[in-house]
Amino acid sequence: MKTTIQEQDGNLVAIFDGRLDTAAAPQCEQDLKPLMDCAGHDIVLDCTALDYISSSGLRLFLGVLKNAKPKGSHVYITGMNADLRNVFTMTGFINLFEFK
Amino acid sequence: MSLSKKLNKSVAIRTTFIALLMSTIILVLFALWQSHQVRKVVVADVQRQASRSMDNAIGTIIDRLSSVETAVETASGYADIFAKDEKSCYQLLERLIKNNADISAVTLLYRDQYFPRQGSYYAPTVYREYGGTGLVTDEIGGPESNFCYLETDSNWIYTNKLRHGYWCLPYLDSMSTKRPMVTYSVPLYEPDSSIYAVLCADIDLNWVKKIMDSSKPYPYSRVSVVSRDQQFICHPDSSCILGVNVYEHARKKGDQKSIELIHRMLRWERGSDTMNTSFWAGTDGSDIADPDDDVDWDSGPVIVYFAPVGRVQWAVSFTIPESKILEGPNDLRNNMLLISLFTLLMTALVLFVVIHRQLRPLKDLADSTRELAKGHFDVPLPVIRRNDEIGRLRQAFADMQTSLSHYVDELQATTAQKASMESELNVASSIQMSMLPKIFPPYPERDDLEIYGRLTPAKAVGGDIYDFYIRDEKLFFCIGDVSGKGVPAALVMVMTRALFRTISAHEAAPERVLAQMNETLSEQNESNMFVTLFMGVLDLPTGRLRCSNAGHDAPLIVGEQVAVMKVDSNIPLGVMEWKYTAQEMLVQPQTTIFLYTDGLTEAENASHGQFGEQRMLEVARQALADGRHNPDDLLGLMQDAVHQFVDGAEQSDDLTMLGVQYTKEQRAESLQRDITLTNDVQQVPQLAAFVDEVCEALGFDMSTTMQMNLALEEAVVNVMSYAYPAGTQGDVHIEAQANDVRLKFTITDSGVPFDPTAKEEIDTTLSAEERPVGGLGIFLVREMMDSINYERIDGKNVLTLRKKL
Repeated sequence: MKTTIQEQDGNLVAIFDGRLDTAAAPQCEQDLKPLMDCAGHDIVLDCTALDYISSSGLRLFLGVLKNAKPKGSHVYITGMNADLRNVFTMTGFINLFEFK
Repeated sequence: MSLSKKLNKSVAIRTTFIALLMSTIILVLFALWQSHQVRKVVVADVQRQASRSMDNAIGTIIDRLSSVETAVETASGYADIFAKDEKSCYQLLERLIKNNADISAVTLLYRDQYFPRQGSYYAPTVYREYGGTGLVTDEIGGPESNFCYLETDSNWIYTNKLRHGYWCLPYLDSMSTKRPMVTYSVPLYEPDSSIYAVLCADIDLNWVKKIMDSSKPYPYSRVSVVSRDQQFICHPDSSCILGVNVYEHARKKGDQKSIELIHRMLRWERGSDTMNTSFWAGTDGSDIADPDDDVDWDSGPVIVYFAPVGRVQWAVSFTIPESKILEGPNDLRNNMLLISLFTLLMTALVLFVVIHRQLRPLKDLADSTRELAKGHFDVPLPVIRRNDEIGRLRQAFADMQTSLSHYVDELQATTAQKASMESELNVASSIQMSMLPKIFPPYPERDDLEIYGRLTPAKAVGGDIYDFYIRDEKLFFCIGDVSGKGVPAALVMVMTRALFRTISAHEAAPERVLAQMNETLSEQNESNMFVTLFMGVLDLPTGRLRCSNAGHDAPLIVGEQVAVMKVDSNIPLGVMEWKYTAQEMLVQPQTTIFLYTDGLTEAENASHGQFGEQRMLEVARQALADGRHNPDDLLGLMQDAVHQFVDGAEQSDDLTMLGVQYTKEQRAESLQRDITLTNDVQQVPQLAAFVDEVCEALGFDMSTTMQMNLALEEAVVNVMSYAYPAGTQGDVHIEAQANDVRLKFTITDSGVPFDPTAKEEIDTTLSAEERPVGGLGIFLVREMMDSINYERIDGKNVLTLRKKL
């Protein structure tokens, strides 16, 4: 599991690659720390290469969103495959995030 | 229409009829009595009258006879002066006849050869010329007449023997006139007291008839005079006069009473008698034609008054027909009856009209009442402006009409209210019933379970409860009975069911469910309602049954044999705090657990006998013997047995039964893999590899594989995180088994008891700010798998996840 943070067009982009399971979640949480300071920037979570996400991963996503929202930043999700999107639908997360 | 029908139909006719009848009876009785009285008076009066008339007549007769007697006696005193000479004797006779108008002839009968010149039996006589006024002098004696008056034994010469004045028996004049005559004879004596002649004065008796007729008390009465020689001197039929013996006359008629009467008369009695008219029939037995009277002597009795005339030994009689005597009274009576009858009829008519008119309002009232009876409460009553009984009756009817209409309105309101209450109760009942599972079979898709339940409430809303549902491959079921009946019991029942559902939703241990329910129900239980409840949790994959009882009847186990389940009874819910105990057993496939309320065992027949546990056990045994112990059949048989037993008696208590049959079949496992991990989340990749391997073996697609991964990861991480408190070490063993219908993962650990299924469900609709960070794991497991099931077996937590293939 590899998580990369980039800045593109004024947005903070997090690119996930691999399986975001419980085992990978602590490292991923560390990798996502730069997104905490997101004032003035929208956040894009690029899930194009994300193979799998468990509830631990969903918790991380929710953490990002809960941090960004009070600062006026939007959190977008891009490139998510159908299976993962299904998980988001099931859990109601699809209502929380904006999808590009 | 017959009289009695008419009488029954009309008060006016009946009253009139009765009044008429009574008046007539009284009147007739009075008329009879009065007639009798009048008759007595009239008869007495007639008797007086007759008596007086008789005295008059007798007096007159005696006067006349006396005057003749006196004249003859006087003449005899000085007869010697004339009688000694054959010529001058005529002077005596003429003198005598001239001075006495009653005397029709006088004769001197000399003894034989008194005047030798004149020969034997000289009898000079002077008589009145019949039909004229002159006197005729004649000599009727002498040898040529062959009459010797003095020596024959004839009537005339009794005097001679008696030596004093003598009235002879009446006789018919020997002359052509044939008049009835009587003669008074006086002897004339020589100085030596020998009789030389007899002075005879003949009297025409026609005057007797005249006297009698003139003395008649009534013009229509008849008179008769009978002489001592039993001859009629006077009789309406002149042919009877001195021609018929009165006895013979009466005997000819064969009339004993007449003979008796004649006896009395000839004994010179005075009196009266009543007899038939034949006494007065003529000699030939027919009535005498008498133009003077219009009396029908042949009909009706007559009264005969009779008295003697002492001097001459005659008996006079007046005969008066009773009908004539009573003519007056009878006429009076008849007139009175006619008048009375007329009056009665008039009165009856008036009575009828008046009563009819008086009662007419009643008929109108009856018509109104009939209308009233049809439900027309506003029908106008007839107007009766009277203050009498009928007026009061009408007032009473008016009052009745008012209250009746009032009551009916009230009744309608009450009925409507009751109907609405009943419909509300029905709604309540249907709400209550709808809370109970009522679609059977409830799980047609399952092959490991058969359930059948039945609740027959005694009243519309009952206090019995049964319920069941499956959560995480566990069947939660219960049966209970709320104390009391009706709406309060139903309310508690609804609450009990709600508690059962909400508490068991996250608590799989029945004893703890009961404990929590008890806690809630005991709080503020002011009405002291309590609930007996049996609760079971059947683990469907394994057939393990865990149950706890709160004072309810222990269920039957109908498996290899019929037995009562051994459970602690504890105490009913809602009484007080209690630590409930639980029992555990393994239910063999095909075994039926039969739960019931005491409505079954205490079902009563008409003679208050109870169905009882023995009968229930027998039905269950028979059902088992017949292989019909599946819930549907067993409940049906039980219901039939109860119906047959109570035989139509009213159901006194709710009757509730629930049958649970465990029908799991063992299937051969086609795949079996396992892996043991430590409680370290870093081992999740190994888990993923294991799941991928299993999924690949089963040929799952990518998507399903990912779902299995997700479910397993969440479940295992959950166990790792909670079964083993922080800092402790332990293993988590994961076994994958698959047969041709499902894939099963069994996650076993030796940690502290931890039931992840008892976690409350998360709410997926909350906003980001409101969403809790945790709780998603088990939710995802439920979503991905077909079932999740927790059991604590032999000190281990056993979590089973199933996915249908």
